[in-house]
Amino acid sequence: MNAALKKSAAVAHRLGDEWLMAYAAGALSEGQSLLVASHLSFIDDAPARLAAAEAVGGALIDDLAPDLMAPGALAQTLARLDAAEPPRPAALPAAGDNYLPAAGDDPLPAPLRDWLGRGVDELKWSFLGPGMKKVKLWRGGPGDQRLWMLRARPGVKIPKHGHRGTELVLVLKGSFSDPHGGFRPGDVEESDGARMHALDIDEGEECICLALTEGPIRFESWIARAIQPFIGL
Amino acid sequence: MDRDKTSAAASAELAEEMAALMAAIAHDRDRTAFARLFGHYAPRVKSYLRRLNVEERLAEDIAQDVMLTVWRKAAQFDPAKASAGTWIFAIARNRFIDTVRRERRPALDPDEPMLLPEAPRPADDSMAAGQIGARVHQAMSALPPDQAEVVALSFLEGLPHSAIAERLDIPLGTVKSRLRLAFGRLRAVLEDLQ
Repeated sequence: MNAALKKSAAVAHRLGDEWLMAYAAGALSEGQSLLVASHLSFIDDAPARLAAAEAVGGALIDDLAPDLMAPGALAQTLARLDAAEPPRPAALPAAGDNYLPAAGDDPLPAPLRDWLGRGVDELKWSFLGPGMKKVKLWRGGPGDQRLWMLRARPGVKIPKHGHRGTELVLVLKGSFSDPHGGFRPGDVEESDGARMHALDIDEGEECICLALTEGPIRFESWIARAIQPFIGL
Repeated sequence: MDRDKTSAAASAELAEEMAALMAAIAHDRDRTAFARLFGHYAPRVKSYLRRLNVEERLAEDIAQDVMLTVWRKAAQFDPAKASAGTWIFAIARNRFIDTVRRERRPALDPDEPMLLPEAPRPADDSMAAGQIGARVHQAMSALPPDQAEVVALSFLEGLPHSAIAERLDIPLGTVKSRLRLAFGRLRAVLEDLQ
């Protein structure tokens, strides 16, 4: 296991527990789940915390008024107990099917790597701005959510921008700074997209982030606005 | 107060009984135990799916499939980590996301931690399962109604935070803080068990 993926109890900027609860509830979109699971994989006690959140589901299901099963449901199920495990539908591979062992210094956390089925250098990175590349991963959910990755050279300044809704940025490699602090691998910055904000990639190392944004990006400066139609985010 | 005690004792008893059934299924492939577990959980899994707006026929099929998965994976159930109800909830939730929403649910670990015990499990810790179940149950029934309402909308209707805010006509930040508070109470009662 490489250093970037080493779990750290010291992830300073953590998502609020409402995200953990929603992930446990199954109430997140696929893109949100990917970001949350990726973030949690940097945190040591995440499995125990997730188990506690899932226990809510267990308690609720125990308390639900039972529905009526079809006549013969138990007999049908009993008759199937010895049958061989049916193959999973090809369109929806089970978690783990795509899993490739992490290559050298690939910074992708296991959930993301598993979902993509490839490493960071095998993705189709495209131009986002000077010193910045992006790759779009997923789009859907309520509020026109977009999950994408940003790859920026050391020292790059990302100009003031905003969105609708919430913006989540998880650092996978390198670091960036903004008025709210320094963000390192495992850290998430959750910001209100309606507020224009900028960030500075730190010197020394490239920075790779996983971002979830809602609606198209709006830039403050006219130059950035002028190129916005071409970047498709 | 007395009623709370009684219901806590009853839920501990239920959790212990379900854990014992799981052990009988895992170790002895006991079909009678499976039939009893099915009798309790299949109608509740179906009820859960119906609340998620899954139509009757599909809810029935998924509930049966979930119970089949329980039979097949019983050996992976670890009563020290979760109650049978929690384990079955996680299987049902994943199946719903997979089959109905047609999405992939990224697990924390590609080897789903819920389904894989980390350490060899003690011979009989149905007591631990009973305690976890009872405490979670107690913490849940002690939640202030406004927190309980948000938790139920999230877990039982699968609503995103924004949809809960709309439904209850409260700010998004309030939905989030209620969920955080509810989780905080739960963590507090589970802390010394983990």
